[in-house]
Amino acid sequence: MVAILGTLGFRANSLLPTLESTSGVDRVVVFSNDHPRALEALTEVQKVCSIMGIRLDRVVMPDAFDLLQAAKAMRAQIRQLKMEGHDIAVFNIAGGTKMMSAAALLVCAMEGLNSVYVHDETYREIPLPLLKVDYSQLLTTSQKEILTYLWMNRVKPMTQVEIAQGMGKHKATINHHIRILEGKNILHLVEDPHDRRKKVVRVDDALELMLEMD
Amino acid sequence: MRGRRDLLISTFGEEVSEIVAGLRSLPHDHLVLVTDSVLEENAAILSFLRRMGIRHEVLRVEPADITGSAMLIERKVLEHIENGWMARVDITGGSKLLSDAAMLAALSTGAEVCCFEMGARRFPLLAAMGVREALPRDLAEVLASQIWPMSLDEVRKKDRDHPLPPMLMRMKRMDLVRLDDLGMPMLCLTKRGKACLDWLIRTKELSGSSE
Repeated sequence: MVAILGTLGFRANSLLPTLESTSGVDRVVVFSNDHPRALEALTEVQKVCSIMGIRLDRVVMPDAFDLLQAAKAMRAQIRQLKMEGHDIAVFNIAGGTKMMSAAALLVCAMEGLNSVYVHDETYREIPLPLLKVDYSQLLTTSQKEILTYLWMNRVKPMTQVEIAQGMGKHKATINHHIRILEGKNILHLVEDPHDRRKKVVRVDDALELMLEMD
Repeated sequence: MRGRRDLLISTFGEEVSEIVAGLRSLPHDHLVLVTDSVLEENAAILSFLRRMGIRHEVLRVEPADITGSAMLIERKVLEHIENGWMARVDITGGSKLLSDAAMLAALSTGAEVCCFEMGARRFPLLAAMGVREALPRDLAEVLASQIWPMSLDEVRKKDRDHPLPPMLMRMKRMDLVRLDDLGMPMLCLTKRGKACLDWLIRTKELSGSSE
């Protein structure tokens, strides 16, 4: 079972070359929003898929301008397809909003999928050079534990002392890992708004996606 | 002692507002404005940056060439990272292709990706995953030095301890090559393999052009 994925915007032509160039496709999944022109493009893709006898599924992007939400929706869909036994041949990232396209690129890198862009004028497919790196393997167990703890308690940013107390670890150990994680830009030490003498640790929403905590 | 310096790469289309959120929330000792249009000296964005006293340069890229654009941005990021800078890439402004090229460069260098289209979104990338970093050097050499497609029979004729067959197996696992029947069984480059080869060739050309 071979599936192709694509972000779909106003032009069906940004997706159709991939349908034509990929052999053995039996399922197409598009990510699009409810803009009338996007729906027109979807109808066109539907017609082609119907002629070719290919099943078409659409994943609605409620907010096509939110990179994080789009990436999460795409990754969930990819994992669902893989669970069902599909081989995902390629992800066409040419259509849709700028943020949908960027989200697709991010997810392709995280999931190790092939990705292609389609030239706006020539409709030539341009394969993109990405190789998979497993993010979850790039941190030590202690670092992952700290990040998980921070993520679970993100509503209340904590100082390093509070983190050490909460996790039942030595303060020096926590400080050491926090310094490394800050160096990797994965968390930030910021001034406590309630007490400017203190610094609290802050994590970004994207951590959820990058560390597969969703 | 001078602390770590911060590079901000921002994609830019037409409106000054496209880069303001990034400038306000991301540290920057130097800004690289990536654009696909020619900016005149009196362009509003340049006047704004001068007025704000922001050190900057303009990197013009070819809009139709996503790989080439990504490589130019990547080179700019790497130049700074090699000198100890921290790089961030703000993909909010400009066209979709520009943002995708910048995203590709960020993925390739491990620079943090940021966007401010719907509130602040920051993606700390823990490692680079570009061809240069994630493709082992020995496989890159095979990719660049062999003639594709390659006859499977020729590979089978190699000695048992010849390094090529196991390398080709690794390339197959990385989805760089696949077996096709072109009248006879041939090892062909996949789309990913072709893209990686294109990247390797163009990197060589690019480094040659700067020497």
